[in-house]
Amino acid sequence: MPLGHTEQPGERVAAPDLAATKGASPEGAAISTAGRLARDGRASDVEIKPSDPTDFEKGHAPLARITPVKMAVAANGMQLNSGGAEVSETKATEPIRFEDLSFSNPFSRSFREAQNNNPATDEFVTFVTGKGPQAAQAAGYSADLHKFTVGKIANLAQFKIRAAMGRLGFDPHQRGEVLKEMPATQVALVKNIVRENIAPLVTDKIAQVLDSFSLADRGEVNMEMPSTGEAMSLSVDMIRAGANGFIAAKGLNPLSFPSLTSQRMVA
Amino acid sequence: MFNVKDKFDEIFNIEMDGWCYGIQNYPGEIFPALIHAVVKELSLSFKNAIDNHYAFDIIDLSKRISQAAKFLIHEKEVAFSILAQLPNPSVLSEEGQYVLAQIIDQVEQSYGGAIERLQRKWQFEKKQAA
Repeated sequence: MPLGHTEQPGERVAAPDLAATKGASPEGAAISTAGRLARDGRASDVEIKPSDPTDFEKGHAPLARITPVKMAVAANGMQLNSGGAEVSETKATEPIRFEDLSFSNPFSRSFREAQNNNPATDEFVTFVTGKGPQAAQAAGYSADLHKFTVGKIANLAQFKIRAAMGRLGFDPHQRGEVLKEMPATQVALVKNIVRENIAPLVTDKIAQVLDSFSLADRGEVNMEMPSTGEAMSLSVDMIRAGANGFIAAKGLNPLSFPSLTSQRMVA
Repeated sequence: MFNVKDKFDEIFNIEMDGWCYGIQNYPGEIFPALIHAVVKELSLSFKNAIDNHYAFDIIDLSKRISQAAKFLIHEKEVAFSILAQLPNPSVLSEEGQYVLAQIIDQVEQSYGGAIERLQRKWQFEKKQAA
């Protein structure tokens, strides 16, 4: 059964692929699964517990121990246990929240302090990049999205990113400085982790982004940064050229398709 | 239910396939803003589809675009981006408004919030025009 498509309470979810592919702890993988369930609107209250708490004491969770982490996300009500991920009904509660986080890593206390001191922040983007919009784009997001990434999503993102950093052997509190010193392959790994773990949550905020930024304020979707306007036009025209080639290869005339012929003049 | 004019459904889908191909074979890195920009380019095609009574499958189109972009932009985001490029119903004929409603309803059913957001957008545009 694909991840995130479990509907029956009590059903066991397959071990998330994150652990196998990215070296994540079972807890991280379970969080990922919970996020997917939530993203699909299948879970409103996801509770992750270690299937065997003693594993943590044995040092099997070098990054962090989570006993338990509660993430309430959408609307239905499920409970999910890591390491075999058992899903059962539970009460629906308020949106995303962390509960009873405990860490075995040295940076855990500082992380919690940072989280408490900065509960609503777009830090996750600046953390990855240290440069805001450019970094947001580098991580695969709209350059403007960082402005709207607030609160609990940022908290979870911080956790994920710090977790990734710790896994790579860096001090997560060095933030942007860390990335400058990282080999490109490790930067790519961090970006992948961010994408795969945070993007679903960020996506769930897209409607709010559209509300607050594009639709309500401008009457249209426009996530382009002014400074990238020309580059964006060139990129769109390159895609248009590909589309023209596709149409021509079918023996059709691209001129018959308005969107393929309305190529903009790029200054 | 109105009949699609001049087989516009075929034209529209070939055009969208072309754009998906272009996205899929884009040599650079795909990022959400680029896909939004592409969707913006398609606004005329969306308007033509409505004028030709073709209530295109916006959910499927969003999936195709998201897939072409290697899922770097979620299909929900694409769907709302397309919604934002649809014409204001005030410029459409009665038939066009009916077709527009059919398109919006797909997103409303799948994700919710589409009608509410578009109404805010239309009100905003109305104020701008006033």
